[in-house]
Amino acid sequence: MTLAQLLAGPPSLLAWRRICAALDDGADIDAVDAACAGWPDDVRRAPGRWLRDLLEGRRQPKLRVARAIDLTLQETEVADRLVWTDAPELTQATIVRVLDERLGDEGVERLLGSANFLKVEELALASGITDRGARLLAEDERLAGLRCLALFRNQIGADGVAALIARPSALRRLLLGRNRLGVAGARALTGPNEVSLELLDLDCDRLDGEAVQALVGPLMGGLGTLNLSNNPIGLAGCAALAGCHFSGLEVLYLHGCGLDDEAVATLLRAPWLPRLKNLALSDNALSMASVERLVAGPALELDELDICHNPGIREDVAGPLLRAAPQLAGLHRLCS
Amino acid sequence: MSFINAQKRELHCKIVYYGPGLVGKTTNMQFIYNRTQPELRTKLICLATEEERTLFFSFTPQSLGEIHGHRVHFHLYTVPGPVFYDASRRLILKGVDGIVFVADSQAERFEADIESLENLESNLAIHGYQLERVPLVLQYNKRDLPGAMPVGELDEALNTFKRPAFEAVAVTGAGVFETLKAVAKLVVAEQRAGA
Repeated sequence: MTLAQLLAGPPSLLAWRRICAALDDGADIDAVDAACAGWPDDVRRAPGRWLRDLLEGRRQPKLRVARAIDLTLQETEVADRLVWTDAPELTQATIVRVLDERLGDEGVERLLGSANFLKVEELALASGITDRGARLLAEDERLAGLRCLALFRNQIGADGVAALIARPSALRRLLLGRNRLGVAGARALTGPNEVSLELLDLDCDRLDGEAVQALVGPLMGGLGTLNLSNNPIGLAGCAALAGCHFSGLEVLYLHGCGLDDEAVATLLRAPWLPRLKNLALSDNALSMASVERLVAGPALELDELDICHNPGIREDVAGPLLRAAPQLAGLHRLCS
Repeated sequence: MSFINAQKRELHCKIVYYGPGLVGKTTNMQFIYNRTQPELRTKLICLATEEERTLFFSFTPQSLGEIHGHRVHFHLYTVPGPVFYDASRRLILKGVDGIVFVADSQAERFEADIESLENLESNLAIHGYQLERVPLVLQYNKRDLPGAMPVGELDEALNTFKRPAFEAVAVTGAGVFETLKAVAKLVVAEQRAGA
């Protein structure tokens, strides 16, 4: 397929991959940039080899066509690992995802001090960011337009969370997994805020049942996706979730939450259950009694169910039982 | 990036099963685990640590013999289940010696395959590695499903560097050991060349 055909065809990652190869072979950067104007930004990703040039101090004009940068820096020794923040080629980037083991608040400061990222809509930064870094982000006007903010694998606590949530914003997806939230962080999340979220991820955030009770409130009501995996929420957490007024929750991840059969039985009494499409209960302490409840639960009409890594569940028995349940006939994916 | 235990005369190599979510990486690992003699393997461990959630086990293949007087141990890793953060998949590449890229043959998962391969290639490139130089084997899984794309089309899009590629139905074990043997062979060849 020729470059012209690729540019005229439907946007796809495969087409983009080939277009980037054509640029490496000398295709006109401005012509490609203009022809891809209508392509989704998430497709227009900066290839790693181009970013590598940047990190090694070489200009890489081809990055002008990229709208998404996705950078992982792990055990990497480069002269300036934050050089990407100032690269003029990335002025147009709208999606920035950086996983740098040494990013920290210094990285946040450098990013906010640069002339780039005026158009960022999705920002993911890890790791080592503290409450100070979170406050800096919250205070920056440029980020008021963010729709997705992912600050996972950092050291953010209650103060940082309060700052992030306090300002009116366009934020719809908030990922704060693997930070230091605890009960205080959960309370901060549900404090005064003007945010309406559709996705909230609090994986591995030291949340127990009390923290989940604190979380339940208006912030949670509009969620479509909630991830509370790897938190010891237990029975109290499940009871709090069951009592929450979710208007459209479709995805719930409770992997590794210290759940037993009683906790699941409590969860399965939730009034919002009929809308749920994807449920993960893997790596808990469930037995076949929970499988029987899932089978008997007429309200449950799932597309995906994950109950693997539960020592009391027999895979060879659970799978056929669940698949035979009429209300689970639409199950596309089952991990038992 | 292999690790040598000189005292025990052991060579430890890390093989990572990489690919989009729910493609069958864990199924591959579980099949290999179940068919490996217990005395030759460690337990299958799911680590949900503060770091990331990882599934791994080690085994010592009898058929490989030794490399320069060192017995080879393979450590198989993957990121199980749906991955909320793509970061998990990237972190697992640390110190990798060989990669099995498991692709989903279903047409509706084609973009997810491309995305995952792109992500793999980008992350290696940022660290100065080239995908064409890393011991890599591709596995086209879920060949039994009605929406499976022709292998030629998958090959053209995903196997740019013409690496060994295998059709598989991991739930039945078809193609699982063929894939593992191929990557093990590449890893050992690399170790022998570099020794």
